[in-house]
Amino acid sequence: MFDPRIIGVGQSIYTRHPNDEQTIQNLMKDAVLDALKDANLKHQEIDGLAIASFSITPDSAIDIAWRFGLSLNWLLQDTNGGSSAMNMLGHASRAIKTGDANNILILAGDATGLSGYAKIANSYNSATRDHLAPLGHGGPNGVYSLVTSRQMKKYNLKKSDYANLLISQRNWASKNPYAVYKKELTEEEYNSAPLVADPLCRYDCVPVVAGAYAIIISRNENERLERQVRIRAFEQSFNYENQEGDGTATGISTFKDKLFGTAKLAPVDIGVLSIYDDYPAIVLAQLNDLGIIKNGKFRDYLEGMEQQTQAVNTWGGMLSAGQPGGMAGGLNGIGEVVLQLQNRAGERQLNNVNFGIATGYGMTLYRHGGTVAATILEAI
Amino acid sequence: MEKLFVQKCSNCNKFTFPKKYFCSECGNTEFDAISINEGKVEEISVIRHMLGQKDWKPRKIANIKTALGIYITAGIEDAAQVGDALYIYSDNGAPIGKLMEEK
Repeated sequence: MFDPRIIGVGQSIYTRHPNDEQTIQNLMKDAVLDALKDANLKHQEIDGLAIASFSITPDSAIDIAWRFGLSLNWLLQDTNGGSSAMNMLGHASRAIKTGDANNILILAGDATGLSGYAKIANSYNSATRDHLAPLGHGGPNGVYSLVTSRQMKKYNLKKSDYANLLISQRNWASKNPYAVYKKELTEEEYNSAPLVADPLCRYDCVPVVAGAYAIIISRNENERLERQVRIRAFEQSFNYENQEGDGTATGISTFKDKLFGTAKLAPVDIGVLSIYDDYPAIVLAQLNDLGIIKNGKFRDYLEGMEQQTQAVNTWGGMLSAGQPGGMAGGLNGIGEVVLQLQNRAGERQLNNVNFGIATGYGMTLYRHGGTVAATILEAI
Repeated sequence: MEKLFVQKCSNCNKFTFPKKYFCSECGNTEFDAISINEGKVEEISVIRHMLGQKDWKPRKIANIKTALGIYITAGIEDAAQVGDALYIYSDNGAPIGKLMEEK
């Protein structure tokens, strides 16, 4: 059994308004070229592909393999939205371990445009199509507006308490050359922003962008890197409570102890966190389930974010850098942890980071998401 | 107004919505259709913006705790607020709530 390494990351430009040349295929091509260069691999050395995208329809994974000239031993297409990146990472890791492939390209991206995204949001699944979209529920914004209200009630939070999370991520985004929003966000701007779906304002809703992200996982090390990255622990949960809960907790609550137990680590050991951030309430729910937020003290944690003492979503997260589909957004979170662990995060680089967490959360079934996953990555 | 139907497991009596094919509690595959017509507003949201639409008129949705104890998301077309009791009906399968006195 081989212990896989994440040996390369790459991405395309992220843009709110793609031009005619910025198709999903071209954006994915850019991300792949960037990742291959980073991994110091030749195109022909890729023998496995995992891909997730809403935008490649009617094509599928094999079409991308063909169009990208990849002849493979291993192929996967994932449809788990915000959890796709993690799901692909888990499957790819196991494929490397069993010898099914040597170098797997994990690729995601979307270029739906706003109207395309709206169509996807209104027919995301049959429950949404039949029972939510006819209400004019506003896509995931409507669903998570209700979850946010429940979180505020449960943890005695005011709307303004969330400001520090958005301000912190915007500050990180200012150091990410790929982020679509880099300008400083003030508390006043946040608190006076137009509401989209009460209580969610403009800054609480991920900006849809066109873009792609890629990582490469391998049985071999990238000898050009001083620090290698391996998966120390990995856990997932699917449909853990049949949509019967209130959405203020996630499936992380089912595996948190196993995740840290496998890693032989505690939350305090984690130096950087990429927490899937389609909405601020979901970031907090995951942090709480991971034990990063102590004793349900959400407000104390949010106050701490004002000083950026919490290394959460150091790439700016999707809320500021942009959501190139939840699939690539999740992959970007994994890539950021890799860069931080390898001391390659540029202006965003943290000091002395040896362990990081990345999560995925997605697939809004009816009242909230149905999938969640987390990994602890380690620098060696 | 059409009635809104939920499912009741014929084995363990668990209620569920939307439609399921196996009971999550006992694995049974037989369900009875039960109409629900009352609930209470737990949370409410005004959808003020819809992606891809420029002439969108705000609409309200709410999380409703039904009299059967299960939660549904419903459209609200009147002045209902959190805590109000609602009459619930179906518009082609989409749950709608109205203030009880306006029933």
